[in-house]
Amino acid sequence: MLKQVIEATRLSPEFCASLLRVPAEQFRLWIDGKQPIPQFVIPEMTVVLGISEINLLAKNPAGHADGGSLAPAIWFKLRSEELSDADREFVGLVRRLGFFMAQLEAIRGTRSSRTWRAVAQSVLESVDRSAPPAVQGRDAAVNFRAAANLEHGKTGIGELIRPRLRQVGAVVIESPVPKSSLEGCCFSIGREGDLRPCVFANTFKSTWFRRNETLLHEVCHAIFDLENDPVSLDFRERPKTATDLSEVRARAFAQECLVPRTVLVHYTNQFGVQWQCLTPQDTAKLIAAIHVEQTTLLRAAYDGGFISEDQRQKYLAYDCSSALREMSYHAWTTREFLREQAGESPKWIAQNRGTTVGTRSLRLPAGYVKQVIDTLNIGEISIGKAAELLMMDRYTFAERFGDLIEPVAA
Amino acid sequence: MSNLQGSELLQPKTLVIIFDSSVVLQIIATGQFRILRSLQSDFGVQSAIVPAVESEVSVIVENVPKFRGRREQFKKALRNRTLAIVNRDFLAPLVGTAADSWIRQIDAEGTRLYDFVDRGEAFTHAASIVLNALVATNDTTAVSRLVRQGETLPSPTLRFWDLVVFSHQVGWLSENDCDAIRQFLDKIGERNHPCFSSHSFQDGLPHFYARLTCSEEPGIGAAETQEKFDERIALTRVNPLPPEAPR
Repeated sequence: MLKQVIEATRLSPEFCASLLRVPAEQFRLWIDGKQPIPQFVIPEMTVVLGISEINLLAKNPAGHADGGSLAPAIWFKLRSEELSDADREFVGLVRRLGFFMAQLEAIRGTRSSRTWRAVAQSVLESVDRSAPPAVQGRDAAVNFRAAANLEHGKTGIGELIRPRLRQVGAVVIESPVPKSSLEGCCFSIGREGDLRPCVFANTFKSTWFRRNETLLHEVCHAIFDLENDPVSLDFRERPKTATDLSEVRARAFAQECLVPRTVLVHYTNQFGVQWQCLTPQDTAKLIAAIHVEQTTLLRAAYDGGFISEDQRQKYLAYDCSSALREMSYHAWTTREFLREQAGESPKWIAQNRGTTVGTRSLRLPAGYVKQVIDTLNIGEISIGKAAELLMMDRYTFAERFGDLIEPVAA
Repeated sequence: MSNLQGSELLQPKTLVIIFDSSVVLQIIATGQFRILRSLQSDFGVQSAIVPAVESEVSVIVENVPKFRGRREQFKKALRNRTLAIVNRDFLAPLVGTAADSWIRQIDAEGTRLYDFVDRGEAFTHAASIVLNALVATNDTTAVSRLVRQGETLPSPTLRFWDLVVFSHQVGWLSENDCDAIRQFLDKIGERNHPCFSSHSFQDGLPHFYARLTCSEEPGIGAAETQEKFDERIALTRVNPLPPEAPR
């Protein structure tokens, strides 16, 4: 069955081999049925491919010649022509990370998938599913802000989104996928019965402000859509006016999470904003404080009745970039950030979080890396396990993190 | 905790040592497969690895620069069974028709241990527990972790330097050979045992508690245990050397 499944996923056998840390020729033998799939690789393989062990080991799969009927649910949609090999391989990488994250949680005795289920359930129960999609999105956002502890006074929540999402059990990944038109996506990861959502934002040619919205957009899909649709994909060139119910809802959700009317009122008062004659400087100040990009800010201001459509169009044309760079380090380039922040955070946070499989790279979440190192230092895992959880060989691990390992673990 | 008590399950006629990748890679790097061959021919000790380690080592020798170009050496050792793979063919002479059942037990144990130690370590220790075989690994963090959770691991746990020191004791390696190994590992950035890092072999040896010794040779290394998990196993030659035989 492995051969049909791999063909159905449109992942190359070579990439799958490196993903599963086995030699390519050995993987070929399994695909061709010349050697049985050994047990040591099955836990990872079933989670990454999203297929049960029974199906994986089945000898006589039923299916059509194109393999589509054999594609595990997660991969069925990823077969789309809109997606590139880079996208599919990236999803494979993240699903493998999900496998290890679940392992780390089991070691640490935490089960954040339960927290996620509780939060998602409470949001779903608060929403009238017969209401217009934008209303559903806004209502869900109000409840999500409360459930995920995102009500941070009436200020911007951009700096809280990632840690809070992780606290409620979502896996948040931001990493560059250069050859991809994918802006964001979400899908379930982990073992069956212990699934939780992974929300991903592509950092390539993107800003931190933009990604705040992308991540929350994906969170909405995770709450409403993942149960019936194992993967949600959002592309950079999506139409300006979404017509799809789930997209309208997700857009409203992200906007309401980030820029509820109360936040606009708060900054209007605090900064003495004159919405009728907004300047580029004012706009930059609001973007820096509310943590959203210009388009979203002005759309929220329009929806909140602060500005007219004409004014929105006029303000959209403002170039706020240089003023924004003066006001927020989130507007800096990575190079500028590293130059300015050097020495203020451990070296590994900036430089050593990358992992590579085949030709694909992934930047691991800093919190996850820290948890692995901490778990190693209290003796809960071996050095080899720590390297494995960070998806690198033990030599690379020792080179990068040797200084952080306490003698008892070393 | 494991319910298996390896010693109750299997007492292989041949002493088996199951190698973790950390030791296999140091053997590959230093070109010391001859130690394993001599252990087999002179002491009847069969060296083996689990399939997970075979894969891990294959990937590392292909991808980690310091091991590149040594793939053929590894393959040859597998081909001529200097290093056997723990599979049905390996187990059949030991347990007969029950080989499949043993494999299933190793797989089940390995999958269980995989939550705490890495994949290679998990299946290596699983095979060791099920087959009551010794393990050779340099990673004491994995051993500590498993012991702490109540796993009964066959002892002693051997390290790469136990093989080198044993080889010196029985005359397969001279003092200079051992020091050259030490220097080479140091040069390529491989961790040496603390006794031999920044110390010559000669200087470090008196402080090293050899876990693998030969019962027919004068003692070697430290007489008293030096660290956690220090225990000793003494091997006897399958065919004793005639008194006049040159070493």
